[in-house]
Amino acid sequence: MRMMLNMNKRSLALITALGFAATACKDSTGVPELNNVSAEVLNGGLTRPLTSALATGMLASARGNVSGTYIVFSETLARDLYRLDANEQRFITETLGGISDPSGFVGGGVFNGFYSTIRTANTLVNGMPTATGLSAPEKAATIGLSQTIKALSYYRALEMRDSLGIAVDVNHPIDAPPAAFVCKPNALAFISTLLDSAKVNLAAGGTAFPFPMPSGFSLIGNFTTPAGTILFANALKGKVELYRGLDHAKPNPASFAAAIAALNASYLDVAGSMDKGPYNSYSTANNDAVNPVSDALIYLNPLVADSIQVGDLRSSKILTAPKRSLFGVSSTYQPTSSSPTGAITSPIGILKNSELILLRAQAEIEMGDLAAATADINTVRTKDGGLAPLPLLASKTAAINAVLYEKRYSLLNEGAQRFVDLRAYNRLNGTYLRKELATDPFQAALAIPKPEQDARGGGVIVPTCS
Amino acid sequence: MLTVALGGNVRKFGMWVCALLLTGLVSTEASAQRRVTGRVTGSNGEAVSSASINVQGTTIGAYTAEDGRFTLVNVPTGAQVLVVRRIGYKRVNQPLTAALDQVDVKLEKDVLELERQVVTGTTTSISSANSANAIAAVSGEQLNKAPTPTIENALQGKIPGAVISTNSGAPGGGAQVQLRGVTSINGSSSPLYVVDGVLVSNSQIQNGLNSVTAAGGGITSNQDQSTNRISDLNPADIENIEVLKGASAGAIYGSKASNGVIVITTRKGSSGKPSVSAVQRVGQFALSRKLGVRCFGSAAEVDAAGFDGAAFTAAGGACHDFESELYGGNPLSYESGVSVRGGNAGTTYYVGGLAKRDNSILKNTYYQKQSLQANVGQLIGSRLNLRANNEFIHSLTERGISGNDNAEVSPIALFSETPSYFDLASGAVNPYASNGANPFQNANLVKAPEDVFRYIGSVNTTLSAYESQRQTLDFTFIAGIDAYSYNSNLTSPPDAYFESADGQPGTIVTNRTINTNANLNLSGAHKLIGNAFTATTSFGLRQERRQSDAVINQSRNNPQGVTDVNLGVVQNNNEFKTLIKDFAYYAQEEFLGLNERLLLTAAVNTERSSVNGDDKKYYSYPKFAASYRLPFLPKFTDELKIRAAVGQAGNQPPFGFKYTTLPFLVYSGQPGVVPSATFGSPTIKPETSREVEGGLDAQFLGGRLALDATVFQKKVSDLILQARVAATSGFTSKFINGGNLQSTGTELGLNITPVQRTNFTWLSRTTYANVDSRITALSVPCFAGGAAFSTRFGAPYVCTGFSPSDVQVANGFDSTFVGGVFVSRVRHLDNVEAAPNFTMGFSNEFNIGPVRLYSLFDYRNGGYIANLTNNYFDGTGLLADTAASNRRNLLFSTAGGGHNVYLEHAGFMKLRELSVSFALPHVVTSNLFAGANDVRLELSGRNLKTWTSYSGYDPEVSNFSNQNIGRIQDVTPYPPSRSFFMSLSTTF
Repeated sequence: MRMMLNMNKRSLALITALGFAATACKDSTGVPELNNVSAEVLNGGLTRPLTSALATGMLASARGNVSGTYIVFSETLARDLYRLDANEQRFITETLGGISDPSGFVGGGVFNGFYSTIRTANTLVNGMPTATGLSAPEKAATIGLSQTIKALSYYRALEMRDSLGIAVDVNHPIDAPPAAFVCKPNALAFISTLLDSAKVNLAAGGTAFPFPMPSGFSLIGNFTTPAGTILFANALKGKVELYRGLDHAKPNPASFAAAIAALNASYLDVAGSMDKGPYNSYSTANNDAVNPVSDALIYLNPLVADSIQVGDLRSSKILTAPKRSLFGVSSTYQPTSSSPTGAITSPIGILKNSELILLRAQAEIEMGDLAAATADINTVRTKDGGLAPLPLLASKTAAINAVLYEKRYSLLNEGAQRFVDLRAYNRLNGTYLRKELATDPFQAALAIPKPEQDARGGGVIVPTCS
Repeated sequence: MLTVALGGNVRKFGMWVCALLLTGLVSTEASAQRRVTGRVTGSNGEAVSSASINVQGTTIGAYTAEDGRFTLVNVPTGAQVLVVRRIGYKRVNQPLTAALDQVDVKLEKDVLELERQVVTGTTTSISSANSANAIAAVSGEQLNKAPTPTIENALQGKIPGAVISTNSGAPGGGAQVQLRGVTSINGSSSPLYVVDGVLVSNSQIQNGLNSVTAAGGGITSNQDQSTNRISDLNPADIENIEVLKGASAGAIYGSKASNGVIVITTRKGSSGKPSVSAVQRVGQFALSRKLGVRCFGSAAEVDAAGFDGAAFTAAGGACHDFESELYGGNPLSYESGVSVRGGNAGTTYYVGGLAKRDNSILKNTYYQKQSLQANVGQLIGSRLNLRANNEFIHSLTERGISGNDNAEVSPIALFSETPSYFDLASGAVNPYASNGANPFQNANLVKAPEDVFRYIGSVNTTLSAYESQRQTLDFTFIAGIDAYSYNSNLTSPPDAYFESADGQPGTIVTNRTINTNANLNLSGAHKLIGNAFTATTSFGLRQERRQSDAVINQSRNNPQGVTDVNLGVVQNNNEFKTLIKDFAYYAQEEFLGLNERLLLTAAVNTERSSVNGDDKKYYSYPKFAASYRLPFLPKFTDELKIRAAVGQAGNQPPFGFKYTTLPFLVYSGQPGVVPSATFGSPTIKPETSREVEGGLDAQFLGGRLALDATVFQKKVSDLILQARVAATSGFTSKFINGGNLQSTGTELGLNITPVQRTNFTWLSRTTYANVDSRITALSVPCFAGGAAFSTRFGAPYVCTGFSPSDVQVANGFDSTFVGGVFVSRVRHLDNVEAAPNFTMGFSNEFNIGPVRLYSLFDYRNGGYIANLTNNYFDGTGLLADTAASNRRNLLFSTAGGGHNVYLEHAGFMKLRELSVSFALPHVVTSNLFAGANDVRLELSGRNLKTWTSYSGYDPEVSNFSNQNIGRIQDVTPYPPSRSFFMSLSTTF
């Protein structure tokens, strides 16, 4: 039998140690965010550096929206491209072979990014009134740029969803009820008004933004200042107004004149470089992005090469390639960007002068001014294509044909322009186009992603229209 | 003292601990000196060492020495009962009359392993005869019936209620253990692994394969076909594995136990002269299933299929069986193991070493492991027992390229686009891949070694603070560490054909991850033994720190012949850190009474963690359990126990779920941030699982037949969800606690010894388990959760009223168009259950003289898997079964109605293990191997045969590695293999 007292002392010593261990753990129970900037920094209000970081993030995010899928899906539907990926047949089967699947990467794609950009822009807009370290003009300039980028993002979202509508009233906390979808005419009107508001803010925005603008904004022309951004806002407004006028459901006749007025107040310049305009620029630097269409699997729809006119300088955009057949389509042509060496840092135009001139021609056609339209078409045709000018276009149809030709080759592999035009002119059907595959549905819009339906209780989302 | 720093509840709790402690210390009596000696032998008269002899109703006990002899001192006067126990033998209650001081005891072999100690807490255990939970145990012997790549493989088919699936056929592991179905949607899916008291890491680290395959995500992806790190353990060093399947058993492990707890005990020394065991194995891995590539009959057929008929003719109409060519011809594999155990009264030791190399079926892929286990126990004085367990492991895994691929590099993806007349094995540029990729060239040039150095160690100090005839008080302090460094170095050199396609020839990715888990465990256990009961009170605290830092660098456009990530034109780097701090108190009271017939247990664990929204808040996990061994038994019945347990456990939010971040990006040389796509939850808390379990354990016919039956119901509340939100909000998902699920299930085990003779025994085990789960509440709209490609192929669907493992699949639709514009579509969606209906395991062991024959079958009934691999081939028509491809194409095409053709039944029967061994006769061994007393020659195989209707490689695969839901995607995986080994084992 051992001594009790002794034992108790030892036990007590251990219990004391236990207690100390408990006390020792008191002071450091938490761990901060270790891997990212925490959103908590926003709670203290925007500062000059934070405004700069968010603005750069917003522009980078908007650049990211000109994604490989944005260009490939829209240009595939516009009969310009095929992405022939043996490992992913849905690039063909859900564009030219059938309807896009709302739960897959086609129907569910090219959507989230626009709203992420809009959220970033709204963070800036909402934060400006209380921001510190910025002058009043700098705040106005920041709001104006954010509104312009928002308008661009809404417009691109609408390009892909068209008559299915988009949500516009999204400046709400995450737990608010999901924003209602509005119909295309409403959405276009909303974007047009948003651009007006942007211009007012930019006009009050002094001479410089309180942050550096990306290099692509001063590549050809200068769009790095509030004044330069007003030109861009006008260009975008001209585009939006044209398609308000061309809308099938609710065409707005006053829009064509408004489009011409806005385009004339932009950097549209028949004497200047056809390539003038802001660009998305790319680099291989750490955390930066590379050109999304420098992709060896992108092929041209043979129609592109077959339809180009003899002597067109834009044939330099077309390369011959070994034949590739997959999923019922085949091609022997690739765009220059598919040869990636060097293309990975090529900039992509956001809205080039050539497009502005052709947009104006489209509005002129609708207003019956075929002479002005012919002149504008010929500007692009001669300068970009090196082709002889066309004689006065005799009919509206001939003029539209001519516009579509110039747009196709001047803006090849750059975005949804041709897809939008074919749809606007009611040409996305078997009358004007061949069926690419037996099951070609002439798909005019990508589906609304399934999470949007799920978040609204499932089922078809019916856009509201006023 | 305990209460200094703590809040109200915990303060009360601390006082309770102190109160218990003090009652425990109330002293008792002394006794007269009585000395009892004796000897314990087996049924053939052989000495049984390390048997424990206890005087019933007291703390007095001893162990037998090597010759089977024991000495008990301080035995109370009068008639007593000696309880004699030894693992592998049936317990004997030996009466001792008042007059007798010498007794010999004979033990009978416990062939069915009916009696063993099972864990009930950090330092406490109880005889399985009394256990109130269905705790599955797998002994080291059962674990090592056939050579195994990893510990999870060795457990497959052996634990009722555990669904263990291998993620791919790649060497070196990557497997998921799911206990009692799904317990979480977006929280951790891994059970908690505890090795000798150390909470060890089972994380999956990505090697950056995504930089080459572009499967999804950034530098790395969860589609990198990674291994989970529990595979590092050496099964040969394991004495015993106990599986606490749910909250009712694992409550004491608190907020990490809701997925179950796997308690691993490594081998220890025992007193006696050194015993050396050695085993040498040589074997071979072979492709076990093929998809079959299409052979063409004529140039016209080739042209019709869209390929090059002229090339077919030029190739002489060849048909290359790509699968056999690429997945074959691998060299032999080997495994060498040696261990020594021994000791004396004061010191015991076990030292085990292993060196193995599995050369897998794809050329240049392998898994290599060296490990050294050194466990030492030392008694210091009579009261302090010190034990140090150390395991050093080095593993080197080379898994090559496989899995989902958007860049035409994965072998199966390349087979799906290359016609069989082309000689891929020549290593030539592949004209049928847009990037020229050839999988044979890739296998030679692309290297992705993953090197892990790991140390798992613990120091376990037990102080017998007080001991009397009626009471003991022990304090145990365990300090454990699990530290490893993971180094992967993916090198895809510029001369690999596909590397030029992105304009940046050459890719190097290195991942340097340091992972450290440390835990301290301080506990006390007080045992009070009365004439009618034993009461065990244990209590303690546990502190943990889990930390990791991964630095991942990628470079592109590298010169040929370099492996240094620095040598590339385009650099990209990434760092990901985690730090988790946990602190817990626990206490447990076990009461064993009514002549060891009744066991009552109450326990509570209260825990805080830095990953919770409120990192100072304690969450409590109580448990109650009872078992009763019925005293009056019907005929032929030896033992009948009813048991019930109820308990709570948690599942912590993963690191970072509480934060909303601003991801960093760069544009034109400027730093930028954007709001992240996922909204964090500052109030996130652990999921809570409440489990009720009841069961019956029975033994019949003199221990020849044993049946255990368990039913359970589990309710998980506060499910951690990454809920999809409308992307129009600017976010795509948010973390919330927002749902409940409920599971019920049955587990049965039937162990029979149909034959038990001296020269012939037959032992048969059958297990059955099912689990049925439902999501009972969801605070967000139903959403597609988990990893998936599309509802067209089959994607997990999280919705009230549905099973958490529900898979939704599109199966036809009606579309409406207006003016060519798609307006609406009524989709027909089917919902299927992806988890098996039930699982069974059948094992049989025959011992006929020196020959032992053993087999294990693993059966899964039901379940589904999405076979996207078929989708790769259907697009090109290059599968041998072109009719099936055409049928699928027709039905799947949107015009054809978008029918579900890729979701397939995943049920299977596998012959997991088969071995036949032969013990060389003594005359041979004594001549050939001097001193050897047991030499066995064994032929064994693993996964020798699979019976399934599944058309793909292996219905177990998971493209996204371990997943709670949605581990059902088969995308061009590393094909499965069978293995054959020949082993020679000896004991000296």
